[in-house]
Amino acid sequence: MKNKDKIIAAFLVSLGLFSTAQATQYVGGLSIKEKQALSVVAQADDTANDTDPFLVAIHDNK
Amino acid sequence: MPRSIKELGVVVGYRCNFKCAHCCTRHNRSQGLSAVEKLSIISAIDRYNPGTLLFVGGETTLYLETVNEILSAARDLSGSKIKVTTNGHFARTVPSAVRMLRSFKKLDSIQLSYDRFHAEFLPFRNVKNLYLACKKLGMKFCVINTITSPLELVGLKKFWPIGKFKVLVNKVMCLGEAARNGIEYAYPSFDSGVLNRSCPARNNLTYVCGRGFSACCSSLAFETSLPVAHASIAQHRRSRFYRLISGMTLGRLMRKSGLPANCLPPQFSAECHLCEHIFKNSGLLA
Repeated sequence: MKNKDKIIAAFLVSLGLFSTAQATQYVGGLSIKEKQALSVVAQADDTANDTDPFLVAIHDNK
Repeated sequence: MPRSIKELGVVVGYRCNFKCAHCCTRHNRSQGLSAVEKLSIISAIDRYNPGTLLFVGGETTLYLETVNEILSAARDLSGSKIKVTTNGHFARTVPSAVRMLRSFKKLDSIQLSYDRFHAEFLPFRNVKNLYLACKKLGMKFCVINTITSPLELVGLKKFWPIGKFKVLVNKVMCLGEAARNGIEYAYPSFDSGVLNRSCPARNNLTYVCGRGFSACCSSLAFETSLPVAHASIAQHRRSRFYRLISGMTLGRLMRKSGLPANCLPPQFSAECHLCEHIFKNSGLLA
């Protein structure tokens, strides 16, 4: 798994969107263009202030 | 002394001026809270002093009178933060957004539902107008972005020029219009880790319009007649449903239900979906 793939997978896991295994499987199925687009969002989230994150996971409901 | 509550959610009614395909309620429901239900909610607020009172719909601003009625009747809200979830339809301009926010008896925080589904009905400028109105009034602002796939997160880039605020990422659940339209967050495979987890909402409480108080804020409370919602919080906490979901992991519930736990489909990776399967297809609440 490439570094960029690992960053995207970790980002998806941190948001509670997938388990590690699911995230690895999901990222493996993405095109290069899709990975590029997602890594931009992941990096932007990573540079946000730790105490005031840009993206926050919430429980699945409305 | 009753246990205090961190957050009490109130579903004030199901009427909405948008018709989003992924909505967790059915579009044909127009019900609002009855007088008896309002009294139950007011009495719960007085008794449990929730740290946060969250009003949701339907579209909450269409129930402004009901919300203000509850806020006016509650004895003491000084220790409670008032939060409202809205689709932002009123924020055509910053002044119109300010007017609406000021018309609530008390309001501390706004959660704007905005995603690819809401975008079909809400002009993007309303997001900025509402953000600026909240900033002007010193209210907290965040966006709830509900997705069916992580790739939809890419669309969040357009928020960046507006300002700095939180985006709460939510997965589309299979209930209401979403279930009718076959729209649901897609998992690539089943995550067995869900069996080691408990209901993520077990420490929350929601008053579900037409049903009652429940820890469940998903399909069991909204779409079934199973005894998962009750007339009072005390009654709910004594109920078999609450004892089961608060005391057991989903794996233990699965074993107790006698339902087969092998070959579960990917969508059961979501706690709510698996929980619904367990309670709808077993005699656990009989």
